[in-house]
Formats: sequence, structure tokens, C-alpha cells
Amino acid sequence: MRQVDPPPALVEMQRQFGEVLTMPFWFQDGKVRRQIGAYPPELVRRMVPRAQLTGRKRLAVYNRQYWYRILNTLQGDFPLLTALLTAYRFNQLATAYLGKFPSTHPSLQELAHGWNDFLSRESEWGQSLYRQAAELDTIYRKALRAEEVEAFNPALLSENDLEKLPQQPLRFQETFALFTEDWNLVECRLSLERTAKSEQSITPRYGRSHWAFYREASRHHWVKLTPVQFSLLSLLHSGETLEVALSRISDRSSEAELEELQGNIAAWFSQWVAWKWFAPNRI
Amino acid sequence: MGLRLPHYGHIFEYWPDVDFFEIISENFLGATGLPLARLHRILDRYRVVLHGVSLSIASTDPLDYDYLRQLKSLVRLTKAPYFTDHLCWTSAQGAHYHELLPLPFTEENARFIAKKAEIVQDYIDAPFGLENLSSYVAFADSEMNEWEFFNTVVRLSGCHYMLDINNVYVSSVNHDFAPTQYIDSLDFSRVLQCHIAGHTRNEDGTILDTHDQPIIDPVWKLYEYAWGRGGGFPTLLERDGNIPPFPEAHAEAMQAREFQIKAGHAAS
Repeated sequence: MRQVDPPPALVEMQRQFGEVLTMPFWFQDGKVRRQIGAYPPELVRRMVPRAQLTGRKRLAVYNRQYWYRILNTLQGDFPLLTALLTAYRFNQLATAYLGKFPSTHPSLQELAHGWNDFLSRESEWGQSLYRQAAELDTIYRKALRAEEVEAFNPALLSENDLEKLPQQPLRFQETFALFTEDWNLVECRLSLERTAKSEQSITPRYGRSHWAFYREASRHHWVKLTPVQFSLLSLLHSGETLEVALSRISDRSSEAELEELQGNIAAWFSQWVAWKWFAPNRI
Repeated sequence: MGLRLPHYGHIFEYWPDVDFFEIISENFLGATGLPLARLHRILDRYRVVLHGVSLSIASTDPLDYDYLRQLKSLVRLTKAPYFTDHLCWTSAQGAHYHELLPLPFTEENARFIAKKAEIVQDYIDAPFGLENLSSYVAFADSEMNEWEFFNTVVRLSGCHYMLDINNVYVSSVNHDFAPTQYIDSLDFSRVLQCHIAGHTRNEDGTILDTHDQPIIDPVWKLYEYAWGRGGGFPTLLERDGNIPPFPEAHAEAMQAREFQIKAGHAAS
């Protein structure tokens, strides 16, 4: 691997410039201020002033541009969380996040790689509501980039393979995800998609629901699940076979739930297959 | 045209007559899922060229061969005749800043970048076009002006120019020089492609290369001037913010033909 030794003066300039770029803004009383007085003096001295612009003010353009791009990108990655927090508080959170997880990847698409990890560690921002909203936003992002393979088609299986199906783990499409919410976050996110950005303000209602999410080509869908459906799909999604999943559910379900399961399981699977939630190969 | 997300719907429905699309390399490096599926649909019908924003050729960090491997694969996949990125740095000391950043125009820096660019061009095994930057600061320790620096890097590296007309204009305002002087200095036989775009003027007079406004007349005039000096290069409209519907953006790009004709070198 061919490399080139860098000029030491350039190394030092880039270190100081990086300090300027990432200098966080002050968030106070609903206002945001730059800390241009804290820029490295040596770098400031090297800047050529222009008209009424001092070297410090010229550097501030980059400081502002850096945060503008980064915060916009993260707001785009987490639209629901942004709407819940307001852009101002979201930007505070994002600034704290970048202090712990600076970008180390060439693509902005990887900027949020440590987001959920960060939220789970931060008591100030890690409330369930925010964690769930971030998880939901992440489902969208991951599904977009996930590979959608040809759907599982039981009609192509031999009778023998069909018989063995309950003893084998089912493979799900990577564009599929399960989600449990304690507030009506799915509804909120769907309403955001229908609303102009300037009108986005939401107040979630408390109430537990289970959902399945899937993407098919460029369209995404949410399907509300009963607790029994969710338990079954969670076990299957975690790699359990149908046989094991059914046995576990039977052990812990009420009679009504068992009745629901036994009376509907064939129809459920038929629908889930039609929605292309499963992938072939490992079956 | 630059391939942008808001235009996919129109493109996939109407398959408009477009000479070529330029994609942002980083959006498709190691792409999977929907982005890759969309790229294949585009490749079925159009020629594609690659424009990167994170190669960071002027970074003092070592060349990132993981990135270069993926870039090379993308060049192969798209059959792009060349690839381009900026004469700038976007990362240092392991941190990525996602901004196109300036540096002092010194002989030492020019030689350093030229060596790296030569390695990159050899590794990717396709012509590499370096794009001139628009910048908002100037360094007191620069030993030459911007176009001398640009020319030195291109000459020493054996690479090519990705000439951004709007960036020449932006820098000429921000650093008080005559943009035609910049254009006059270039060897047009080494221009792979050119960019045209709009920009935003700050209250303090600084012009920012935002690609979110229509192209202004002085930039069109400079394009006409450049075409008169050495026209024949592919021309691309960059629009990254306030993106208008595809037909409107396409119509703006097609205005380039009028200026080509005015310059007396109609596109072949």
C-alpha cells in the first residue's frame, strides 16, 4: 500500500482547523452562540482578513457550515425524535452525541452509527420515549439500505420440505423489523410523513402496541400485531423454529390467546408470506 | 445532471433524455438494498460518472485503501470513464468533517497532494479529475495563488481538472481576484468535465457554495468564457438544496447549450 509522508506544518494546521470546525455552539435560553473567541490563536493569526471580516470571522464560516451539515443530517436521520424534542433540543443532543461519537467514516450515512448506544447510556436523553423514537427512526434507515431478496414461496417446496418446515428456522427479509411502542409513535411518524416540515409538532399518547414494519421496493408498511402474533414473530425472528416458538407460546399463554393462535395461525402465515416477509434459502 | 433523490420518481417514470448522470460516489460505495437497486435501473439506461466528496486527497492521514477499494469497485460497476473529487481535505487525525476544507498554497503541499493523487489514479486505474475548491479563508503563508496551486498539482500528478466554474467565481469574490485570470491559466486539454451551480451570499459578503439557487448571470458568463477558451468538455449542473422538479432543473442545465453557442463552439 503506497503512502506519502505528510508535511508536518500541514498536519498541525489540520489539527487546529479541526478544533475550529468542531467547536461546539453554546445553547442557552433558547439561543445558540458560537465560541469564536476560543479558536486556536495560531491559526487565527494565519488567516488573511478581508474587508470587514477578521480572520476569526472567516474561520467562523467553516465552524457554522460544519455544524449546519452535521445537525441537518442527523435531523434527517431522526425526524420523529427531532419533532418530539424540537430542533433546538435535538441539536443539543446531537452536539453531545458527537462529543462522544465523532464521525470516523467517509459517509454521512454512518454518522448515526453510535446513536442508540449513546442514548442508552445517557440519563439526560435516555428516557424511554426518546429511545423508542430513535429506535423507530433507525428501523426506517436500516430498512432502506437492507437487501430485499426474492421472497419465500412455499409453493416451490416439495411435500417433504414442507413437512420439515416447522423444525427449521425461518429466514426473514432484512427489510423487515418488529417494534414495540409505549406511545403511539408509529402513528406520529406516519403523520409527520404527511405534514409539511414547518408544521411538525407532535404530542404522543401513552399506550402499548406491537408492530411489524416492512419495505417492499420503495414503499414501506406498518402492520399492527396482536400480542400473540408479536410473540410468535419475535421468537421466529430471533431464530427459533416454528415448533419451538409454538411450544414456548403455549407454555405462557392464556386460553384465549391459545385459541387465537390455533384458530388463525394458518391464515396469518398465508398473509405474511403474501407480504413477502420471509426469504428463501435456509428453509 | 447530478442524480438526486427527489428526481428518482420523475426519472423512473419518464426516462428523460439526459446525456449522463453524475452520482455522488459515497452514496453508493458498498451500496445494498434500495440504493443499489435504483443505481442498477439508472445504469441500464444512462451513462454515469462518479463524483466524490470524501477522498480527502489533501489530508495528512494515510490514504484509506478500504475507501479506495470500494471506489474502484464502483468505477467498475458503473463503467464510469473517469472519477472526480475535490482538491481539499475532509478528514484528519482519523476524524471525518464532511466539509471541503482549504489549505495553504505552498510548493510543499502541492507536491504532497500530487504524489497522493498520482497513487490514487494508478490504483483506481481510471482518469482522476481534481476539482478546484471554493473557499472562505486565505492563508497568510500561501506562496502562490489558487490557480497556480491547482495547475501545479494537476501537472505534477498527471491527473486532470474537474473544473467547477461556480467555485472559480465564488473564490474570486471571496478572495478578490479576476476569475478570467484563473480560467486563462488552465490547460483545457486536461479538463475532464465542468460543474456549474448556484450559490448563496452571506450578509457579511462571503459567498457560500451551497448549490441551492439558480445559476447567476456572472457564472453563466464565466462558463461562456471558459467554453470560448477550450470548450468541448461535459457540463454538469449541481443542485443539492431547494431542488426544483426534474424538468425545471433539466431546463436550467440545458441553458448551457445557449452559452456554448454564444462562445462560438457549439457542442458536437
